[in-house]
Amino acid sequence: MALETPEDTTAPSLGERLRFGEVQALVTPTVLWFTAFLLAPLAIIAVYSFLTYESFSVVWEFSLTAWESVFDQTVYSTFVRTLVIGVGVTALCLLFGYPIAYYLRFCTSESGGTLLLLFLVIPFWTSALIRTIGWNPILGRTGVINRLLLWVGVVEEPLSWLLFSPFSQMVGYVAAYVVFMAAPIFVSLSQIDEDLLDASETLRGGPVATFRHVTLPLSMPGVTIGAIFVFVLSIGDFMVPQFLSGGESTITTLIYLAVNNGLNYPNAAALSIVLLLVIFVVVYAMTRVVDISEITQG
Amino acid sequence: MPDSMNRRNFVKFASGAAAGTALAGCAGNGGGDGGSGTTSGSGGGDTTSSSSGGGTSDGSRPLEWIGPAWAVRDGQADKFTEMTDISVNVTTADIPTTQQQVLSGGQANMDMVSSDSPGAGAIVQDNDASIPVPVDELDNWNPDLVSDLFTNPTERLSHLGEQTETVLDLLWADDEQTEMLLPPHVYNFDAIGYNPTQVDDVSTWSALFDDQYSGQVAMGAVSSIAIPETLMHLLDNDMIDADIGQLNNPTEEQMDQAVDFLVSEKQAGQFRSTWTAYGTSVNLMASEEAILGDLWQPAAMDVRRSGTPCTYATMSEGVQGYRYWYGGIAPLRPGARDRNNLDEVYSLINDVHYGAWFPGYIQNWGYSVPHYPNQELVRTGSDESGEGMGPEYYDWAYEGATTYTSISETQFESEALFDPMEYEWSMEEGDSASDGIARDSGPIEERIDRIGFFQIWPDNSEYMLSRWSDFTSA
Repeated sequence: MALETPEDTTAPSLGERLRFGEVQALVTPTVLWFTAFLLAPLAIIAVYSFLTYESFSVVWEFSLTAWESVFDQTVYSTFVRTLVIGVGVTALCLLFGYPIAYYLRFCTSESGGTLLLLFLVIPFWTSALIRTIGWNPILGRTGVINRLLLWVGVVEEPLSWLLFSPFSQMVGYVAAYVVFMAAPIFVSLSQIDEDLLDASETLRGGPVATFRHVTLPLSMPGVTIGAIFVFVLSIGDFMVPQFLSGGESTITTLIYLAVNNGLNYPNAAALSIVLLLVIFVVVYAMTRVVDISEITQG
Repeated sequence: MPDSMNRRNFVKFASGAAAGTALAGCAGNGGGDGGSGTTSGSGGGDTTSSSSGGGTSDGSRPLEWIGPAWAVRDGQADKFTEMTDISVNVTTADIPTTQQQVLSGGQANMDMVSSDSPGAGAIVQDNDASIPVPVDELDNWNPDLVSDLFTNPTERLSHLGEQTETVLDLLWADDEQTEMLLPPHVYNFDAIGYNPTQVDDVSTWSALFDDQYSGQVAMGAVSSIAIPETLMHLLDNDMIDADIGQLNNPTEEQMDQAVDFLVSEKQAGQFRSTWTAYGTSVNLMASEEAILGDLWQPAAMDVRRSGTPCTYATMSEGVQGYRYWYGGIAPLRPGARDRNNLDEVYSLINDVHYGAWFPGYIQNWGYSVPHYPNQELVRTGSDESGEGMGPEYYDWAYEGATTYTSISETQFESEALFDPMEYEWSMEEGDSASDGIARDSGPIEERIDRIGFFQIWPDNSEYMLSRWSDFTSA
């Protein structure tokens, strides 16, 4: 029997792949896709933000008017409100999402946890609009909760603050996005080597100490990814502020307003770019704190 | 379309062509561009056509019509197809999307657009995207039999001062009134809709800001509507310096005052919620989250259909009167001409919308038509489009008469739950019942007398929108 040389069994090096054009072949479709459907549209949006707006039309003349409006006090305060909402929703989703993920990982079987996680996805089979407006018959003055409270006699008048209020907004956001927090945390927790937990116990670490010094640090990549998902999705959400807030706008509402009232594309473009930059900065900062690539390393 | 055929004989020709085609057993093959029809004569079986899809001229098929759902209903397109055998593709979109689609290329590949008066300015005035319609092409537009709301707004709406100029500017392309920029097909006198089980009669826009309804008001969040409504309230209560003629085209200072007031009301919790989508306004009232709001009349009807009583207010005379607007149909430039469909658009406007059938059809949603004074056609007449409204429905809709049937003999528990679509209207002359059901807001002439505001897109729109973000953000 002939002996195989080590070279025969070693996978081709990156350099060899490059030689055969494998990397280019793999990367090119992605690059083309992102160029056509991300970079090019962004470039167009950027160009539009520097154009002149006149009644219902965009004139191809350079103008900074749209960017000046970005520094308006109203826009500034709306941005602040949007970011506060984003942070608040992220915190609430973490508060509810982490226990869900923990339960699914440690209190059910492996297949059971995965199955229950899938159940969390079922509401997403309906449209976001339906899921948002669906809170009206639950939280409204004539809704299920108020009827129940009136029937029990806990209140004499329907509670108005259940709907079209910060409360209903938070309910809407958390219901929509908690799964985006729970899922990556669940994945992160699933990859924790149980021997580490046993070792902590062996070293007389109680449940709290084990959680604090072992489980939580090892689940941080999942927490970070979940936080990125929830933060980005919530500050870009249009449905909840539009249908559950009672009229308080976020930055997405202002973008919608710019287009929907007068077709002011330059204003909408400038606001969109600023929103994108804010998201980019936040995501970048979060990934600097936690190495989210650890979640893929098992 | 051949020179020998104009819009006047278009429907007759088309009907004949359809009949001829059917008799010849050579119905069109559907779709396509309609081919190049060859025609001879009219109205008889000697007409031949090679148009596909049953079309009768050489225009592109189907006709392309875009506009909001309240103005471009399938029933209207179906009626045109029924009359001419020409198919119509309807694209429904809200007003901003309609503007967007028309101005970003739609004007070249669509035939006609519908819009309301504030939304139409962008298309028919600012961007030259439409073709004025000569009144000579519209048989049924007889100035003597069309409401002077359109033919002579200066006198009919003299109490509105300068506002009447904006009516004329949007409607007519010339002072001689030979061409229309936006031929009207529907209009209404918007008011406050309220739940009569929880609100006493209201007749002014001030009710939106009345403390006793705090936290229970559905407030429209469209700047060009909400600001003038607020100005009416402020003006009537001597809270601003203005006159009625400025209401639909306010100065920046007046806009500031209106927005500042609205922001303070919003922050004080006066509004249960704001609405921009039609369905939202219906939901707010139907679920009794709100008990009054600046609704559209069709929304008030839909609230009733959901089982919640809703009355459409009779507004007061003077400064706090109705919010008047109209919707129209305009041929698109260059689409209608390049696609060789200009005559078809004229036919759609004249034969369908100025005919006998349309007034009854659109009154089901509470809207009125310009040619209601033509009682021989609209009340008791008929034409190729169908039957007129009949005496009972016409008198109820336009004269303020009650129904022939007592309310106790109908299925409706109260007037605030009455649905004209569900009522069986008599086509024969009869007597109004003393306890019959009257239309909300009263006879049309009284409604016209009580118009306080004609809805347009104001000159200071950029400033208005920049301030409006303050309201939405508050």
